[in-house]
Amino acid sequence: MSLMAREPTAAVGPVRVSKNGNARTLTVPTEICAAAQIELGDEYMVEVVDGDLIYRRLDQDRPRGRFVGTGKDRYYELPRGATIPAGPDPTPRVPIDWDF
Amino acid sequence: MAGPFANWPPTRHEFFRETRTHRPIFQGDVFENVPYIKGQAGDRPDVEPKVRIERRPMMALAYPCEMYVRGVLARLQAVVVVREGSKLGMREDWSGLFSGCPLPDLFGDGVLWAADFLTISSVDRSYLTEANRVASLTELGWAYLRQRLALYFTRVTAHLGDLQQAGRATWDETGLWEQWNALGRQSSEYQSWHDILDPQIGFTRRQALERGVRHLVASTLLGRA
Repeated sequence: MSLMAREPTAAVGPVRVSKNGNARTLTVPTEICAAAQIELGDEYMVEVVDGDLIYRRLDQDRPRGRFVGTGKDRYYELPRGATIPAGPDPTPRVPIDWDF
Repeated sequence: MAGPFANWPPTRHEFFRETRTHRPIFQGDVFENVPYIKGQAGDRPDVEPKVRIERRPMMALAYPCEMYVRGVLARLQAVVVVREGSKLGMREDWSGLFSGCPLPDLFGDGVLWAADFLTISSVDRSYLTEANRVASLTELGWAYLRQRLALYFTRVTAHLGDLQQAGRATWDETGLWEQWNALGRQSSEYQSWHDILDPQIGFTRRQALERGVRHLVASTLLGRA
């Protein structure tokens, strides 16, 4: 799936998907492109999860993150857009008391 | 969706590796008969809590680097109770339950178990030994546990691939530590060996692992370089 930038809009809006035969074009506002570091030609796998579109980057060329430090102080710094904020937990919370 | 796992939900074989005596205690290891201390207050903070101690299966929770001090297991270890997944509302497809990590067929009884993050506590290191360790995670199982922990503590789902990449050097380091122990060397001396500049590599062995050249470090461990 290819991504196309469009002219800036007044506010960040929903992503529009159009289908044309087997080809599908996802139009993403430029604000979202900038925030998620989306470039023209990037490839994504799109899934529908609970009515929302979740898209995962397929290209592996761009570094996804970087290591900082060494040994015990070493950590992996994720780039912006590499993680997805979790939505509501679909499993009902089971109350826990000290008698568990 | 199976993702990097061949099956979904993952099988016991995909999630757990064989427990070995020489394997250092590691994040995600499960132990039997660990004391869990309950301090029940009954919503009365002005009185001393009613304390009960129960022996439970528990999982070591801290990142491996936090579990050790200069190659020796730290006195205080963070653990969580392992419970039947059904008692936590865990679904068979592993969806939901942001406060725990499923553990498929942990005890070989066909039951889906789960680490319950709500029960996090600390125990003395002496309760976490090779003798009462009943399970260790595969590299992918370890990444999945960390994904669940990140979700619980931050409400962010990190990609398993990123977590695998971030943990690879630590995973390799632990594998070599296991070999070190199997060779009969002093376990507490491994970290010092790891931090020595190896002229045949051009880095310390730790730095070499962080650069992804495990085979070179392994060859120096086995004396073949």
